[in-house]
Amino acid sequence: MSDATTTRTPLIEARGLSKHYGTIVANDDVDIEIRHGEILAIVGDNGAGKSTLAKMLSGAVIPDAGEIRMDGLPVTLRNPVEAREQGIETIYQDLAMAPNLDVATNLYLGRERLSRGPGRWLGVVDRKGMRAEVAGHLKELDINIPKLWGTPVESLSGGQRQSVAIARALVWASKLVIMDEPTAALGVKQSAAVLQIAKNIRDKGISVVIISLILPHVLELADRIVVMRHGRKVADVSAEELDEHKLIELIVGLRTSAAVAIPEEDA
Amino acid sequence: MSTTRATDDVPASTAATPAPGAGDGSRAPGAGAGSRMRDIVLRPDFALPIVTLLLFLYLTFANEFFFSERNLLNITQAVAIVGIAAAFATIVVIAGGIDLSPVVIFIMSGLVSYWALNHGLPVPVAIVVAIAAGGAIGLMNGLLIAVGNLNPFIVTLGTNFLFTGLAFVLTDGEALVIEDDGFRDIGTTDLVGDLSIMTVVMLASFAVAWFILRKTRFGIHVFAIGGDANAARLSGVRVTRVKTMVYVVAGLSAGVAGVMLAASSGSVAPFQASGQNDLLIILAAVIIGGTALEGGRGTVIGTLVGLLLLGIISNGLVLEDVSSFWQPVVVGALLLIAIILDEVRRRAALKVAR
Repeated sequence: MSDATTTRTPLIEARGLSKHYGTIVANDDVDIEIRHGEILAIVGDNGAGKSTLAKMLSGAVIPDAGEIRMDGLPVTLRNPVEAREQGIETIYQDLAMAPNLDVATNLYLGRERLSRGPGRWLGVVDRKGMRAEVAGHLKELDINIPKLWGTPVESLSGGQRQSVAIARALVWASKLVIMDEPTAALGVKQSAAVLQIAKNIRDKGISVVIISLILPHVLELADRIVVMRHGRKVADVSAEELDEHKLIELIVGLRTSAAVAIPEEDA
Repeated sequence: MSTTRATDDVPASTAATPAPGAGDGSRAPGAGAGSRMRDIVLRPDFALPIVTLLLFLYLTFANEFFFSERNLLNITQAVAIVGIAAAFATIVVIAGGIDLSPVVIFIMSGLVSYWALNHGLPVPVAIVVAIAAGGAIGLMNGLLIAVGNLNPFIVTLGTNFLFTGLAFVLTDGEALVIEDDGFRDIGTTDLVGDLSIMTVVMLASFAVAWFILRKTRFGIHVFAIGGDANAARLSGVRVTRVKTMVYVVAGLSAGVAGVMLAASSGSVAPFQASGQNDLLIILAAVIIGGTALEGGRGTVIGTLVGLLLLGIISNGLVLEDVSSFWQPVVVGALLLIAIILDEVRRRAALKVAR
């Protein structure tokens, strides 16, 4: 995180986000800021509200109250499509791909390029063009997936499917990538690769929000960490000020945010 | 595209971490020529054409009348009406749905043609109105299923009962004779050489359904919804709209079939709907053709071959002088074999994957 990123208007400024499911309070009056070109980790125990918070940013959950500003302008994210139109891509925990379709089709799902000819009027897709572009995109992103077309993604390995989901987000994201438990189902080597990819995204100037329970990953990766507990934000600190022990204490509530120095952002 | 290729010949691991040394060792027990043979036999996209071809060859040699232009045209003519509906029923099933209403739409479309002609509307207008009526019933199905989020089996079963009853009420249970010769000509005229209008319309229906599934964005979305509707929604597919449209298209095609039925028989009878044999044939053709009932997988070509197989069986039984009571027995047995094969194939694929 460079000095420039702290002085610019944040990419996303959310104020007073709340979400209730019946009597259960998933998020209560949460403020969160995502700066340009940073990796922000959201951590918390199961049911702490981190997933709900991320989903409100990705458009999958509509907040009951609160507002979201992007580059200072208010935006409404009523569904994932609207979020994507703002340049926000999400990598879902279950990857959210059509298992019966191939890599190329999944990468373009919902955004198919139409043929240039008269077939366009009938909704004919430009399959050739999409295939050619997919190969180029993946090479650019240094992601290696065999069999880009003709083989359904359900017959790829777990790591390969994860790569497809990441590639889909990277191809389209221009502002923010949200990763929901990206390493939960992966082995050590594949997790390391995913973490490296998250850094690469940040280095391209795209912000990353990562939700994870694997604290060593969080500490290695994040520039800033937000801790959720019982639907509230209990800490929002620079990763440099934390170690695993302090982080666990924040998550389980043995330490309060007051005990951690407020980061210099407010200065 | 990506859709029907069976996964059983791909030794890929779907486990989170690939097994060490994945490759030849990960193949199911009995790898080699035997399993290769089994793979081929178990793939519905291979098994079906082979069975159809064998039956075709058998009848060609066993029966002097079978392989004649006249008889082959008879076969296509006999399956033309259900074929028009079956082509688009395939799309419904691939989208993860089911439609039990096409046969009752035949009747309603026929009734609308009857009234339109009786009110002095010109034939083309009557046809358009009748097809639109089919589309309207399809729209009703689609809205209840996609917007109302109701079970497609129950919704279309309800539509089926509702309109069958309505057809009886509206006709007092009598067959209505259509007098208009211009309209009736549609059912008897040859369009291309010796191919009747009906047969050409059926072939065109399969071509259109194939085009929709294979070439268009709509087709990709149909497969995506059948594969995982929630993933499709998160990817930006307008699931509600596509699901609704699938039933509208199926309704329109059944409306076309209804016009053909009314024109060829020269009458509309509500009791045609209560027989429901046509419905069995439509669904049997789709399933025997290798389309998975759980959605996400299937081909229009498979349905066409399945339909021709059913047509050849029914024709062969007549030519070989076997009682027509055997026909449902054979169709039922084929259906069960198709489903069992599909399940065996699916399990084999899972085993290989693990």
